[in-house]
Amino acid sequence: MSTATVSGAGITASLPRGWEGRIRQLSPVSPLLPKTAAPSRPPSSGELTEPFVHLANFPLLRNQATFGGAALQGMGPTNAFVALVQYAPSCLGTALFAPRGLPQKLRPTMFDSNALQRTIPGQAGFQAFFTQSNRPFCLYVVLGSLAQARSVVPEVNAVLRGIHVV
Amino acid sequence: MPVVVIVESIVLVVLAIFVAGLLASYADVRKRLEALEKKRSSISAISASGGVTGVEAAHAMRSVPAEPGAEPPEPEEELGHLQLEQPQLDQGDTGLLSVIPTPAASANQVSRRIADLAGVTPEGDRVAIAVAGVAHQTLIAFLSSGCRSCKRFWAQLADPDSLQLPDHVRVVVVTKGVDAESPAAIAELCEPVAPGIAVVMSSEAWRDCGVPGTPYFVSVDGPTGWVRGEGTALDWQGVIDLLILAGGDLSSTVGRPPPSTPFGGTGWRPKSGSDLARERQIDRILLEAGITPGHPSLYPTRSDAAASSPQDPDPRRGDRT
Repeated sequence: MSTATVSGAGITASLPRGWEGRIRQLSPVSPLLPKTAAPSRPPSSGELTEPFVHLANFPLLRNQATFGGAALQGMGPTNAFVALVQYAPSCLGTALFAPRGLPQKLRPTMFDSNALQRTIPGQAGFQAFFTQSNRPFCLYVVLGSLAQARSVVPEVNAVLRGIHVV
Repeated sequence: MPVVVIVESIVLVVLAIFVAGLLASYADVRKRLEALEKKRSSISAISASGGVTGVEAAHAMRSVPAEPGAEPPEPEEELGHLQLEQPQLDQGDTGLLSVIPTPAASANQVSRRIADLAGVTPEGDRVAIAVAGVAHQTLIAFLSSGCRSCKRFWAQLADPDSLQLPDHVRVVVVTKGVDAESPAAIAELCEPVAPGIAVVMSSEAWRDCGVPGTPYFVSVDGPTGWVRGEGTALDWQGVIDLLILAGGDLSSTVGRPPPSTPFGGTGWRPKSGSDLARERQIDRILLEAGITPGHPSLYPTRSDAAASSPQDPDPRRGDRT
């Protein structure tokens, strides 16, 4: 049952009950803020300026890192975190992003504790690179507990089915 | 003989003064009892009906005198059918101005649910915050950049330890949307705010919650999404009192400063469901009897105890002086 929708940067996510989301807009500098509030330097070459989406069934932090970062340490065993991160257009057509479409049918066996960007005991991760709507993305999913994967992964799949990219 | 008459006259005058004093005292007692009865009736009406509806509560809250400098309440719009009297709870020295307790609703009670909060952050992120279907309670703080009394709350939110909230209470600040607030001003205000405290700009949330002015606080039960209580307060202690009145017993956690958590809470573990249910029931009984937080009867002095129990029946307790 969807209760809320978060939409921005051409991405819409319908959230099941108990999930929340955040979509970081295209630029690291808010279009809402006046120019005086903008950082004085341009983004460096490696700095991410593309949008990203965070979805979770636990409270997200305001300054959560692109792939969750240290904030994922507090995840409970039935918690899940989904990050959908867009990459620069220059990545289009590369082998890494060759798969088409957002994965929406994950299986518990796809999760591995070695797939975590930041290893936290008990947690498990999944990562996939793909292209959707001519936009290169990385999907990164973290489960609070690998032992609970069988019950949590269907919930994650429901969230993934609610994501639409235009 | 004249001496006797004079003495009798003096005695009569003294007696008359004494009787007049007694009558005045009686009138004062009657007045207080009537006020107490009126207050009790209001609370009973709210408890019996499962709490006033959100808009009713909002309308009731609109009778709260605003602090100088506070934003004026939004104009009366939707429903004008509220007939319930606003329970003016005496809050002693606390900062709580007033509160509408809306007890955790059961299936047959009429209350209201809060939808998940949706809006933007001052940085321009689109966000949806879950307040229903979650394990924790959410305390929504409706603040603004211009309201003078909000400033102390913004400052307090920078120090999660000082909030003295249990682990299962999450704080979410909601300001009006970019149509009515300056994102730059809000960004500046929320810069020192603890990262676990979400800040959302959403005029829609203000409308949905019927926020009459700032500061305003709404406590939402996570599993059900029901509003547990709402009101305004002068300081954070007033907010704590609001939460206690709303049914969440925080009395055992107030005043203890354990380490902070990502929620902005204090790391205190929630009590078991049966304990909470029992304490809610006790709170309700006390409220119905007109005993609110800060009531003198909750803090008996040593002389009171001595008066009610001149002799200690249990000598094992030893000397209590």
